[in-house]
Amino acid sequence: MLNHGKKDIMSKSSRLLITSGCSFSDPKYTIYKDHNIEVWPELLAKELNVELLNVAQKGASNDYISNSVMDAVVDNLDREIIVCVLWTGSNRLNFFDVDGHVLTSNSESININESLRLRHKALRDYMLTNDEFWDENFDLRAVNFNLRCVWRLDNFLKQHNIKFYHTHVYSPCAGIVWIAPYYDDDITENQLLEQMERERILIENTPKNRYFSYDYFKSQPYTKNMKWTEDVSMKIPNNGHPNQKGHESIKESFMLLMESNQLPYDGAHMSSMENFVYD
Amino acid sequence: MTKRLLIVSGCSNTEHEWYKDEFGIIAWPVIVAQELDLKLLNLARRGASNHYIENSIIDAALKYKDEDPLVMALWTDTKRLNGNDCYSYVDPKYNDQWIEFKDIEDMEKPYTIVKCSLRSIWRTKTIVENLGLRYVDYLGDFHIPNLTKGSLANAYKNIRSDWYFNNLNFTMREIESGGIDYTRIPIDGHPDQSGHEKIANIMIDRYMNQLKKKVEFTYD
Repeated sequence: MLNHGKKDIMSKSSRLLITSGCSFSDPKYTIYKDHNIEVWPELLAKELNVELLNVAQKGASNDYISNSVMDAVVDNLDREIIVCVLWTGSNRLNFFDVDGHVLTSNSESININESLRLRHKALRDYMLTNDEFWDENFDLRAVNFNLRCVWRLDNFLKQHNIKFYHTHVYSPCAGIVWIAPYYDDDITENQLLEQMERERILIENTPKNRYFSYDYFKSQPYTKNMKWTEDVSMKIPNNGHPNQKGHESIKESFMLLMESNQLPYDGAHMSSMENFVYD
Repeated sequence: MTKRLLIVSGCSNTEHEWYKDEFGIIAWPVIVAQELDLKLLNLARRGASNHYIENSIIDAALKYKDEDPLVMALWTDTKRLNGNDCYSYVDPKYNDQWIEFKDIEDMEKPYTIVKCSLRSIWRTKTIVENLGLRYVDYLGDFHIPNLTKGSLANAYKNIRSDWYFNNLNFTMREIESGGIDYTRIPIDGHPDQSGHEKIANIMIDRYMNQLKKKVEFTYD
């Protein structure tokens, strides 16, 4: 049995909207303040007339997004929760996971952020100069990493019978083959062809991933980005982040997802999980 | 008859090949597999974080769930953090771009670090057991990092009220130091042969206790 803590159930109003994402969802992102932009989680909370807990962070990876929602949910299990997530790009990877190794320090007294920064740099430098690391297998592991983040949050929320609406800013296949070691301005034609072939293989194989489900891509196909990303009228000039119109568009995407799926989960989550976990 | 599968993951304390090559030691997963007559799939890697251990187990548990594997985890040092999860994100394309996206007070760091691992442990246990598989774990070299003066008291207070901690069956003593008193290779610090046998026995005992409980429950 889950221990829900000792919170006074009657002390809070019941409905809570929990949102997460990257800078596309974070009202603290400087450029939104500069342009006086209200982000989609705030627009959605107003539309639904519910209290908002937005745990989005600029620069966040899908791993962070998945974990931040989970933490927010377990702290509020006495509420009627709705979760909305805007997943970020798949190229925000955790190399520790992909490679499986971390470089650790024996000292506990050093500043942990500085320590992490140096360790990350050493690992990253090694990877950036190691051509063999960047191949089709890396691409598939990168997609696996990101889809696992989606799956485990979906699985957790179904366990708790919590309504969950989510969509991807970018295709989970986008950007991965272009991460490294080549830079856009010095790539050769052969390298370009090789990476295009890698991308084709990745797109073809992504639905075979054990964490993939077409249920995760209701607002657009898994090969596509959200429409607003290709519409200059919805973006802040020379920036790429959504302007007010862009945020309205994202909010509308969530409203559509909600309208198309009014029924709450029926509690038969484990049997439905079995249906889409395959090799 | 095909042997039942034993899936294990962990850090260097669990990676057998390295022990065999470096010290001629038989690591605990090999001992457990021999004692229980199981086919071993060892996913452990030197330097692994608890996040890696979680992910490797979940990937394998889903892949092999139809074979009804037994799953074992030996958790590791909590300080092996994922930069993306707690503190920051590095864009590999730009060498100097290091984005701090979450400000954490010094006093909060030990708890935040431990929470990341508790979350991984809870998630692993829950997902594996929900798949209907047997799961056994041990905290190993888990501990609360003493990073700054006075922060430990704050960590204890927060861990006691932490949701993941309260939904796992570990004592504060185990969280504090992993609870391991096995013998170690001098200077190196990894468990010696006797240490590995002790870990193997703990894992086997925990598994046997689960089976015993199941029988008792069935007869009740």
